[in-house]
Amino acid sequence: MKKGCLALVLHAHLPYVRHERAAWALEERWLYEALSETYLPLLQVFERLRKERVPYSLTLSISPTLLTMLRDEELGERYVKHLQKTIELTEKERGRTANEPIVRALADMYADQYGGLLNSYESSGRDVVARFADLQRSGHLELITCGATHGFLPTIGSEELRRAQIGIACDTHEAMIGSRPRGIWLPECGYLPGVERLLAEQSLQYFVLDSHSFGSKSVYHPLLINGTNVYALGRDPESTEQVWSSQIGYPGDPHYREYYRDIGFDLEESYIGNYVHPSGIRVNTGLKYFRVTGQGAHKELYDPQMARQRVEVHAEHFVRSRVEKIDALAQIAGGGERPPLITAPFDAELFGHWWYEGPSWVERVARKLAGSELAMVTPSGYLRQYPQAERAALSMSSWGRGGYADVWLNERNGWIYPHLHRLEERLVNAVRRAERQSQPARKALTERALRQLAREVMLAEASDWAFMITMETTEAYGVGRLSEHLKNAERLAEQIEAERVSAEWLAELERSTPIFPDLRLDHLLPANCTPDRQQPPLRVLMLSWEFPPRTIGGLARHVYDLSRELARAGVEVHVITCQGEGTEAYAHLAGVHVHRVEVPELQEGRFVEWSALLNIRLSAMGRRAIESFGPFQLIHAHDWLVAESALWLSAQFGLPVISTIHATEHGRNHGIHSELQAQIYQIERRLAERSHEVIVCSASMRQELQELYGVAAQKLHVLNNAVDRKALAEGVDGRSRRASEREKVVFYVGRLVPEKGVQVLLASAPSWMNRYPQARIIIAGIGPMLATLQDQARELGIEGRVEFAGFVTDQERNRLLRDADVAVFPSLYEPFGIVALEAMAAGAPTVVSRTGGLAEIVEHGEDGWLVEPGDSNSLSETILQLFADPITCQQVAERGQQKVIERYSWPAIAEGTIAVYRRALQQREQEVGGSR
Amino acid sequence: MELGRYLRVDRYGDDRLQTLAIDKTRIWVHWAEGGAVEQIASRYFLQEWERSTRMLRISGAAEQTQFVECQARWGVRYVDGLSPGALYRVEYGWERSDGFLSLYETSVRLPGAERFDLLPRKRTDRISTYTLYAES
Repeated sequence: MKKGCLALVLHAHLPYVRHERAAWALEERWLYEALSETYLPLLQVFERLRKERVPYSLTLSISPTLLTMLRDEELGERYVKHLQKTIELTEKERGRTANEPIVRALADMYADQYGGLLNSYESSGRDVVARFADLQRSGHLELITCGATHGFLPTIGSEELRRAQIGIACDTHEAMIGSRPRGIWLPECGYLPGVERLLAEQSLQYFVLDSHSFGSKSVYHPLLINGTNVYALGRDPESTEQVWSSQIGYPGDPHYREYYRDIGFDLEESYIGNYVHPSGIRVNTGLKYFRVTGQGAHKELYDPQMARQRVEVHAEHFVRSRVEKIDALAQIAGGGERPPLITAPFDAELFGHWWYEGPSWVERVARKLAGSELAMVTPSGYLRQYPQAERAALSMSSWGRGGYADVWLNERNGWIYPHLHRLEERLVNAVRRAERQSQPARKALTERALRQLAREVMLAEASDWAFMITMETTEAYGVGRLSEHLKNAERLAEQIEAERVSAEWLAELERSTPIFPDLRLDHLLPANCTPDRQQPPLRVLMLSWEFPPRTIGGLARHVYDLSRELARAGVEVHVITCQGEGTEAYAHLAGVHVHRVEVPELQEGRFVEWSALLNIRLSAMGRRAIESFGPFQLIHAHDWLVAESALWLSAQFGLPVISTIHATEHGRNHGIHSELQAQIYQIERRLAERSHEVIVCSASMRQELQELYGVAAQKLHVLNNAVDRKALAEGVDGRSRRASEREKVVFYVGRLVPEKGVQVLLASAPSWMNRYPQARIIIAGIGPMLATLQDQARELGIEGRVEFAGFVTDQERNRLLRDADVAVFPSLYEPFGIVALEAMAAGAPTVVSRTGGLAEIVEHGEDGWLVEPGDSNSLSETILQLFADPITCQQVAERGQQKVIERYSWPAIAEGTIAVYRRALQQREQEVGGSR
Repeated sequence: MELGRYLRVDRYGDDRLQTLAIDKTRIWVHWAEGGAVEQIASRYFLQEWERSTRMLRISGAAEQTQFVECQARWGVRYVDGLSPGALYRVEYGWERSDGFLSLYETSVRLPGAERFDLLPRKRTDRISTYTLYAES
């Protein structure tokens, strides 16, 4: 077994610099130079090593933009012309330097080199990619992918676009290489927590990070990222320094060729003019006659023989240093099951393009490693053999200046992102909308336009442009390309949104950017949201300030049950609500789309202003939901706390508002007694007036709204609340835990507020407790009256027989209802009274006040019992009557249970709600028709 | 290429507060006041809405809250001096005598070993509406 392993990883990337209308574009030369100086020389090295049966394994990432350009026939044709021109120049140089033997030898060298490159390129059918793929098939190379357009993932605005960068990269890799990649080079090593999930979706096994990302953990053992089976490999800082460092790095050796002395710049224009840019701009020709020499301007002529000797020395030094490192690691760790892995990643273009002797150095390193104690491996080969790894969570990082996002996000280029992020959102929204369209003719053109929009947005995301702006190198080109893609994307988005795509212009764009021809739009869809292919009959935006797990009153439960039932009935419901404990900004729960906003901080005495802030946030989120998932037909608002957002969204998008008024401010307070109450009253009134239809839960509430707000009878609809029998059965095993028949339990559940009348229940207790010494009360729920009620129990001398159970879970509530002899709801004001309905559904004998909705639910003596609100004597007599006649009590309870099952079901309520929706839409249609 | 039109973020008309971590101590913040704020805040906060200087409030658990003045109703700011690995709440709004009025809110975690989670806020889901009423 070898002492350790070395993974040499080269990252080959160029931005997409194909220019349809400018074959002489300066930037296309980047590709030609990289082909001549890096990709083809490296291929020659790899193929020679294979031919000579030197065992080696190397990893090469090829970015999808580069892969696409390498496979582009038109670019191949242009490259051949470029090579022919360079060969012509070498011939000319042989003549010019005939009397300078050393330079003439160099000119001969270049003539041979470029002639060989042309021969090599043509003899392989101009297919560089196929040669790399062949090396992978023979087990010498592992080809991995990168971001589709080399987008720097930490500054991309949405997960969908990060997913697309990765997914489209893998597809492109497979289409061009013939197999899915096992690893990925994150563009600029840019990692953001959560990216690992996207990699796992594509079955990617590993990626490489800069050494500081590993913190205190060793970079010589891969880490498994928490929650996935994706490995992070840490870059070895010592290997990096030896090759990359401008001070001590190998490429700065005085004997190596000097990059910056090219005859394209050195010779007279009259001589070289035909070989630089037609506009006269000086460019590199690839013919360089000098060596690094030293720091100064004076340069000596290049000596290939001396350079070869230095390559030998540097290769030897590199391998020896790695072996010494492994020895040092073994001493620290004392050996182990897993040999250390040194990951040495570099930009591929360093080898050959910047460092002329780089490919020879790679070859010498491979030959030396073959006989060393160090195994040359690919990451996937290592991980296959040693899959065990420590698990860790890592934070954002990159390999750029400072180690984070500074190069791609700073004062020079920060202006990009407000525009880019909005276009990313528009793209995702447009894709989502298109997924729902069913007209085939329109869809074909729309899909083409969407693919082009995706190309333009993703090309704008390329890290190269932001880099150029920061470094002020080719800044104008970076800004120009970025702006071009942003502008194209914006115009395309407008055309798609207006359903007026210009087929001619689209075709022009497609011709000029022939990249990702089979781009899969589903990569741009959220992972946890699969939109229905069919247009739902109705799409409703529901606003509620509470939704489980954020449960304040009965509203959360009501909105949860209603939205779920509407979804079952085929309505697409999007609930806009507040964050709860541990909730996400978006979730798809039980068929319901739930979007949540952070709740603003509450300042004392500013409840209404607080609600305005909440409504600003709900409105912004509502707008985003409409733009992402629309079109919507309706807005459904629950109570005054969401009135402002409902009315703003209605005006903004021309949608009718249906509101459910669960209770009124007037009813809650038995009148309006304060400025706060008056403000709420006005908001409530405005919502009721401006709503197209209003739903209430009882006839008494209908009357209340007519009297209070003058709401027209024809737009008021009574839809009772309902109970979920399945939910009421949860946690109940059927066996009562009651201690004995003599023990009587009276149960109340609900908020501890004055209007619920718990104080009346306590006041009634002494008389029936005297008759039944083992009888007691259980009060479940919380609220501001708790202390007052505890004081009252003490004053009545019954504190030992009253249990304040506090907040109880649904399961605990169900068990308490099952075990109760009587459930009492002595409300003074009750628009509906869902808890009474739940008690009846659970089979508990139920006593309620003759008020509001409660009085409408219970038929006295038939399916429950009614007592006068606030009358403790009446309540006491009723409880004694029930205790005395358990058989009748049970019969009445059973009838109550049957009644609730038959009349108060969520499917019935949902059906009624849909009927109200339809009515609103019909009214709306008539209004619009009438105004035409 | 004419970039003038692109640099005007207000043409989008949306309500937005967005943050990105730049490095271990700096963040990028972008805000834009849109239709919802204009419609609702202007009705509820009257002149205050027109006159107040907009601010960013950046608060974490570890150190003092930072306030950064915003020159316009939309823009980009770079905020420095934050703690590595910490989670920050970033809000946009204005300061008043009795506290900060927060129009938009988001959060951002800086790179580095994770520490300093936000202090839990007094959440309205832990108190009843009647407590809210009573406090008002």
